[in-house]
Amino acid sequence: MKVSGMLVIAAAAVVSLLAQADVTLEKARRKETLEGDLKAAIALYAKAVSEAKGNRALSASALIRMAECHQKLGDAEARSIYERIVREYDDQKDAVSLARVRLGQTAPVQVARGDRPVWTGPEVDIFGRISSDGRYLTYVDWYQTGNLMIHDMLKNTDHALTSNKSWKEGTGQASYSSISRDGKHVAYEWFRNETSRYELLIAQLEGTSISTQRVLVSNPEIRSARPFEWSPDNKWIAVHITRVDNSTQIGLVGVDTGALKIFRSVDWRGPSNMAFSPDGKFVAYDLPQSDTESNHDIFATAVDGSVTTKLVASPADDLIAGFSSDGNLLFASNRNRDMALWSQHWAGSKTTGPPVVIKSDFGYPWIHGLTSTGALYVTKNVSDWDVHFAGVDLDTGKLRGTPVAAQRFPSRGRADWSADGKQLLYVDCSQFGGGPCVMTVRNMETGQTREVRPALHYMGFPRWSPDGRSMLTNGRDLKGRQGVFLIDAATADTRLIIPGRMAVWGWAPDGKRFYYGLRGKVTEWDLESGKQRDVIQVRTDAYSVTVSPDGRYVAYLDQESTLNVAPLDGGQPRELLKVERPEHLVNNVVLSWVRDSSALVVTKRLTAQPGHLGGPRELWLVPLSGTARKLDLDVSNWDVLSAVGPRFSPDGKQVAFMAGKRGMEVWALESFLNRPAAGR
Amino acid sequence: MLFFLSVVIPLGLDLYLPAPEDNPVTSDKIELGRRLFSDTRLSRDNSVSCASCHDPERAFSDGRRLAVGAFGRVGRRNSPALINRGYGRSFFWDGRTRTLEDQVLLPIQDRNEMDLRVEEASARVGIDSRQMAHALASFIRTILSGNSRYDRFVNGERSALNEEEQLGLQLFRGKGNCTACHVGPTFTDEQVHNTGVAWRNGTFADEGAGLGRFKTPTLREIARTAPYMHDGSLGSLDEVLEYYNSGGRKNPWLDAEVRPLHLTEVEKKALTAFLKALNGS
Repeated sequence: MKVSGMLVIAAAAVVSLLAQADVTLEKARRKETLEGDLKAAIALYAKAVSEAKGNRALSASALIRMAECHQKLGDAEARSIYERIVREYDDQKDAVSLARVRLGQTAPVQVARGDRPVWTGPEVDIFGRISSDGRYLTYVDWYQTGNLMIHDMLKNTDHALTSNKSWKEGTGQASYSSISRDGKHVAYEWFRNETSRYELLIAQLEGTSISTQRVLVSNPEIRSARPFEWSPDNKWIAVHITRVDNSTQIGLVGVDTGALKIFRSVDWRGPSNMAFSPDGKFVAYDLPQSDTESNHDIFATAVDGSVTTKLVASPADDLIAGFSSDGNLLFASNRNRDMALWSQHWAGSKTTGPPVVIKSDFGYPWIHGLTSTGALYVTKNVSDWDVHFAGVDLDTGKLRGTPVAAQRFPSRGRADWSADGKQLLYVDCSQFGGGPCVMTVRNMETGQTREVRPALHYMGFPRWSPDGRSMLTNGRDLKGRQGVFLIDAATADTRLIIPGRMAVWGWAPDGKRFYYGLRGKVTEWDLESGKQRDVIQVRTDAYSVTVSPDGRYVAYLDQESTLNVAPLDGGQPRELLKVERPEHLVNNVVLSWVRDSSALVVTKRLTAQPGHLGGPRELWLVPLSGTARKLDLDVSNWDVLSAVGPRFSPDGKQVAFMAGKRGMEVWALESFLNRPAAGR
Repeated sequence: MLFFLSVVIPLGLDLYLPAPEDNPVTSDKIELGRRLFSDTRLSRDNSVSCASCHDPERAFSDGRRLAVGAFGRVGRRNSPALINRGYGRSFFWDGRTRTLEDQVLLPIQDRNEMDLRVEEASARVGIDSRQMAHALASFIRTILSGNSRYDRFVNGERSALNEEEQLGLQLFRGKGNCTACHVGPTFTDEQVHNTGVAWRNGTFADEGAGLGRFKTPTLREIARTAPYMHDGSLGSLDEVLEYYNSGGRKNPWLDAEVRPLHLTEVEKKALTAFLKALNGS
């Protein structure tokens, strides 16, 4: 009895240790990917290895991640860890294959069969596509330069394909891109600052650099030409064209001539993905079911435009993933409630036979395309980023009570307090930040919430009117028009006030006028008459422009990390706070005016790693007259370094902020390759 | 949806011209439809055909304020131009049908139009109603207008529009807010809107699709299809622009997109010039 009792205790201890190893591994992963603290991550991975004594899969996985951290640090230790994996973990085939690849012992990346994360970190985005050999993924450097980038999965290195030195010194910015089937070219959208529109370019890809490049599509009538997949013969690229009148079309662009073949006018939101059939004679794509629906159906159109067939139609959301290496149509669908990956036989011009589920736990990832071996590359949103709110005492710097989480996912935040501080609004959008968006209004006295669904696809930064009866927001409506919209808070009735891309910078206290602008000019708009007048010009490089609730001042930050304030009735701007590099003031888009418009709260970052979300930060209370002082608030767990910074209520007694895990991971999905193919 | 291409698609229109799977466009059906379109036997008194109100010389409209049918009966609405209807998603001024096949037989039966039962029409021309509908719909799918100076301009021929027309195009998309409804290659959103035209003396003279809403007509060939609006109440493009410039006729259900535009005389002239550039070749 004693012996068996001891065995039970020992077994329980092992189970507990293994569970602990899982926790430690997750902590290490967060430390590596979300906080970017590689040294701390290495220590945690090592701890996970020691805790996972009986779990060789977990142990091998931790070692791989640890080696990757060393690799990022340029540390030779990476090699010895990979060698250890090859030597000691021959039962862990995926890990050994990967280690061998990293050691340069084998060429192809596509050795392992299974679903696995292949790239994590703040750089991961949704704008690129995977190369046919699964080695390269294009993306955009959103943090420092706006360049088109390429990530090498084999070497875990990143290279710029365009030549901006920084955002400020660049000629524009990259957007969506796609690598040719033969890996020799990349097509990419480039927003040219000079013309304020996108062009579609093509460049020769040589490993991780490009040589010659030329313009494929550049037309003042075309706002953007988003590239999807290349045809199997690399002569055509499937594109989604958006014209300046907001109408959109799908078609092909010729790689040699740039000639456009427009198949079909479509809803302005366009397809989420387009893919060529294996013989290149059809292009399959998904489209929203109607102007007011978010769910999609899947179609195929012959490349000469002669035939269009509805391939997949159900009331559910059906999204095309592409064509498998054995020629079947792959699509994601939530027809059985959860989003799964389905396969259906493709018969040359249409689908036949019943679709079958080949991966039930697909979720809602962003699809980067399939490789020639059939692996599907996707980005998963692994955030639990959420709005939190709490009472606050600006004098003592203490929160009054524990912050409450809104429990809304995926949240965009963009919180705004009503003038009386009794209502808080915030915005939730789709997995990857775009529309459709929903606004939630929370009554701070009762805790009750209600959804406001204006006739908008996307909401920028909604702002309460002084009387709490309406909101203004920049955004995009269901016809695809951008502009400033007025929303009735009770009925959600929505009216386009000003077409065009611009921001709402504040309300006049009488609620009959508001201030909006773009590039420094503050313009007043009279809601009743529709008349407008330019009120003041702030610096053209100003950001976080915000009008005070009493309508007397406009505050803004400038490139020199200075907080300025200028009277709206004229007069010279003056500096309220200036910080010296490496410190800088953070662009939170909307500044918080507090204490009856007598002070502002701004975010100061203490280190100079532009863009990345880690590093120490402080909040400062800056009065219009008097001395600025650091608030004694612990904001280490708050996301205050992004566009969605903390928002204090006008009296400064409440605060809403974003917190939680924020990140995306690129996954290679291969587990479904072993499933039975779709029937005919 | 399936379509066997036997029609040349002009510049500016989608290559894919939709047709139902059970009615692919064929040259035989187009030809039969063309003959039926001009066949006066389809009206009770043998006096009018489809072409009587949809005259090819007038971009398939008729130049009258209101349509005139069999026995000289005057209808209650203006004859719409049958331009690019193959791309349509709703038909008639009130958008009450969803396919051309459903649409084409209804005027034959309408008392104020051709006033003939379908069975009798079939007997007169010797083909069944389904064939008749398929043929007429197929023919109407071939009525296409594109390759206008506007189309050439947006496809890169930047001299195809003169300066005044280019200003008009800017106004059309911007201050004029015309693209709120007249959008895309066919210049219609295929939706119904209350622009106030039917509002008379505190009530709707015609409810249209309900609450005074009528379908957005195409603007292609607009210079050739006067008079305008569902009731033909505005005789010229200038009158139409003046109507919208003033914010339409106010009523409780006026579409939010219709509001005073504050266009100057120069701007109105430019908009008119642009609209005339929508005539195809």
